[in-house]
Amino acid sequence: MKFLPLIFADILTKKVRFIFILAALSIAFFLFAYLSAIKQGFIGGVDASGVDRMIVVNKVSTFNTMPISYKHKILNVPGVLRVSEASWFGGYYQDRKNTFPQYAVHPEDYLAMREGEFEIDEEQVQAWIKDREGALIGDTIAERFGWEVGDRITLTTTIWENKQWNNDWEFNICGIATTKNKNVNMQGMLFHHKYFDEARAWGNDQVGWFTIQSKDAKQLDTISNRIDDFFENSDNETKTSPEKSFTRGFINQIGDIEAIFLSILGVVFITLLAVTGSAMTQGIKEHMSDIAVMSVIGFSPRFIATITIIESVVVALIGSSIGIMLAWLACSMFGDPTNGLLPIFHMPDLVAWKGLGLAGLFGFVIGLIPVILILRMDKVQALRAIN
Amino acid sequence: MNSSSYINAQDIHKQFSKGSESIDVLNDLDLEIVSGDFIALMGASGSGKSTLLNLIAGIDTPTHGQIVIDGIDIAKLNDSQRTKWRTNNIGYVFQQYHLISTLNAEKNVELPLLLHKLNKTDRKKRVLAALSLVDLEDRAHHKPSELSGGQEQRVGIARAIVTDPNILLCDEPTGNLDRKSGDEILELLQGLNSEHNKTIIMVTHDPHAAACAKRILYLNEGKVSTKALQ
Ligand SMILES: Nc1ncnc2c1ncn2[C@@H]1O[C@H](COP(=O)(O)OP(=O)(O)OP(=O)(O)O)[C@@H](O)[C@H]1O
Ligand SMILES: [Mg+2]
Repeated sequence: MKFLPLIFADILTKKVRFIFILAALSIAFFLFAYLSAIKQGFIGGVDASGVDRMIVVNKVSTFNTMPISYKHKILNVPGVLRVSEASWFGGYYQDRKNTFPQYAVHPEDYLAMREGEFEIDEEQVQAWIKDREGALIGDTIAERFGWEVGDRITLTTTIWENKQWNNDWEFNICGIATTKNKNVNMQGMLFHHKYFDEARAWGNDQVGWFTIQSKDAKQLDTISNRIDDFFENSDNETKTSPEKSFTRGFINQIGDIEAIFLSILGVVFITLLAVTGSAMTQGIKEHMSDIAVMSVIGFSPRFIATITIIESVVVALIGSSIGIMLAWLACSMFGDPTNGLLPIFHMPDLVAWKGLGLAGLFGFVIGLIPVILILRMDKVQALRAIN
Repeated sequence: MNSSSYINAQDIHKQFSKGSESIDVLNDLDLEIVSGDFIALMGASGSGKSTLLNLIAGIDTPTHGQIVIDGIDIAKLNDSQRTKWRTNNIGYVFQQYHLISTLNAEKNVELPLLLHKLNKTDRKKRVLAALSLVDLEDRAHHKPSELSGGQEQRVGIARAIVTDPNILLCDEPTGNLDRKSGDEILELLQGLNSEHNKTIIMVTHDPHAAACAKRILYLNEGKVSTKALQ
């Protein structure tokens, strides 16, 4: 690469401008990557949702309950493989700040339909199934509160009273699950719906929702219609939807995350890119006399144009790499910036690639402006202009 | 046509048009230069000296007429052929030196060599030879901003001769220099002419500079003559 000095001499000579451009680009791409990670935190649950699973809720709202007797009726609907009842416990550990999700479920049915999503010791599973007050927790939450298998913990719920009209419930930690899938929430806790139902002071024989595993992931629509048709005109009509769209709908209650993400990013990004873009274009324009000289020496306009584009793309890639790297560091070192709102928080590799792709494109487009000038340059006029 | 002439321009006509207006800068111009000549080209400002230099360099083409250099009619070459021809045959020296400010002296001189198939060592050898010819080996790593005007122009000359072209075209090479540095440049050009047999055409407004050449030609009313307009 004998032409390399031509590219880098220029970058390195205008040090102040180069640093300014790099700083602006890194900020823009830091925000891009970091906000992407936050967005992923919000919508990651969608990716983790099972393709063959559905959620049955009360048609009135997700906060209305249904009788547990529906379980067997749903199981009889053709196409349904498994059903687990589920309810939201809404508890926290010691302090309201320590809120995390706890679900009362049917242990065997629930684990069976989430097979492969997380790993857990078979002995611990068996221990959990046997222990009526047992709980299964994710490794993230175990780490957060320093819980170990065998611990007896007390959670306070803002929703449910137990038979003693007390909000404090006790559980035994029977197992700790781990996972390789970064989109799976490991901040959660599972426990026996049966224990929950028998111990609570009110709301008995009711469930929050049912999670269903179908026999055929391609038939979700048909199966959900069958279920909803079956319960039509009953006291509690149902609304069945694929777990993915259910999760998405749930997330969208906070707001259209993607739209918010895009608008914040759009404004910052476009401003910064406009600033860097003009600095970079100006830098290249200052070169027009060099370019005229080079063309007199015998370099073809196309060659000079190529060098210009490469320079522009390289600068954009360097700046964006710094920003993306910083974002990655921030994500892995400081974790969830919302302090618990985003149980799943990591920067997906795809974000880095998208960012670099975007940066490359940006560099290319910025490079195109002077390149058009170069390709249209009249050698004679240019020479007159400099002589 | 004198067959011994190295540069032979005949019936050169160069017209520039700006919108509806057009001006004839060169008009039925004839010019013959033998190999190894050193010409000083003088003439009023706007008389077409730079225009003629650009035609000989193959940077521009005449409106009509032919320019035969070393047997090749360069007006008949297409754009890229002419560019290639120029890189092999012409060294161009600018009044304002026009070194690339981001590159040091050595890299500036190396620039034209990048267009040739040469490896790094060969390029380096040639660059050092050119720099030593202009007596600037010790400034190889200086940026243009760290050089005096005279030194910059010597780097400019080194860049022009590094590919070993036969023809050196200099457009007011001493125009920006004081007398002393200007004289050094003229001496250098004389040496290149007499010892290295470069054919040189030097545009100048300075009679003192012109006196260093073997011949002085005057450009007026679009034609070349050996006599100044009185
Ligand atoms: N590309 C061009 N387009 C239009 N007019 C041009 C162009 N190049 C030269 N001219 C005109 O041709 C004439 C001769 O210009 P040229 O630059 O050759 O003069 P010159 O003898 O080199 O002058 P100077 O001594 O000032 O450098 C001028 O009138 C100039 O305006
Ligand atoms: Mg001129």
